[in-house]
Amino acid sequence: MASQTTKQAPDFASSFKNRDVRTLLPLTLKQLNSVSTNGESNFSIDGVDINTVAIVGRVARMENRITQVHFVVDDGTDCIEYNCWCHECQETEVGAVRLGMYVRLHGHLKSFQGKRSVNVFSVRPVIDFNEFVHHFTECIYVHMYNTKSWAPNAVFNYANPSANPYQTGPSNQFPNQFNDPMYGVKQEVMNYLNQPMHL
Amino acid sequence: MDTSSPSAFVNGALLGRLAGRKVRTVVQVIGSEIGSVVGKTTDDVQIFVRGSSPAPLTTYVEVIGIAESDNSIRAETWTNFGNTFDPQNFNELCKLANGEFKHLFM
Repeated sequence: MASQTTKQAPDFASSFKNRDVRTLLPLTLKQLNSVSTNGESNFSIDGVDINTVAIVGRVARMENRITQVHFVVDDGTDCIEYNCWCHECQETEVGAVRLGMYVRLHGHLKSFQGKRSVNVFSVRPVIDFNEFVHHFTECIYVHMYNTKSWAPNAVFNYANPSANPYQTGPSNQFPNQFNDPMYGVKQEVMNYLNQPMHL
Repeated sequence: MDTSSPSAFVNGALLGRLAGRKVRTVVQVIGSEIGSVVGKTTDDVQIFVRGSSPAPLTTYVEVIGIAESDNSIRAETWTNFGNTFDPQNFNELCKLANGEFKHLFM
């Protein structure tokens, strides 16, 4: 997946066009490579539209080319490639990235002529490696939230959490433990994530 | 080595199930000698990690490599994870990543 980084975050108004929902989804690269699409730039996973994605992985390859730096990031589930123009690398946080370093990426999933890519607009080195574990735990939680029956119509909106703060359908805000075979698993995950260390 | 192939998150209990496959784990360093490191997995299993480790090693180290047996890994990539890493969280992640949510990882 080749793409370019941009020095500043892109114009969201033009990027999202008519979309009303802005999402920031933490994904594993395996999830990212398995998203479904119904058009050039309409991606979805677990029933949720994808706008911005968050990825944490290790810089597995880094090639200095004439006008750009080519990166390959591997999170253990798959790989992603992106390019950074040389002048942007020096002026932004990308200049601090080194081979073998763990980084957090934010970008927009795009498609051009049938080929998917990620426009990476933010690259930050991981300093505390608990963030590495937290990212994957968050991927699991968001996947559960968006797919399990206890949140049938919820859209997890990281970009605007006040709009949809973990909402469920109005008549079934809490899971029904008597009819829900997944209640035990959900409760176990919630108990784990509600531990003080994670709040 | 193909650094782009998936690597399964493992703890001590899962390591034996994935012999011959590429794995990744975090160990607490107990001791080191030339060519190998003795470490304790996040579920308190002592394993041997063979390979050239970086120096110096922090308390917690992530290793990515090939599982040779239920208590040894031939490491190809080492990353110092510092001294404040939480092994319990990683241990729980290993269980989830190899259980119900395996499809998100492998």
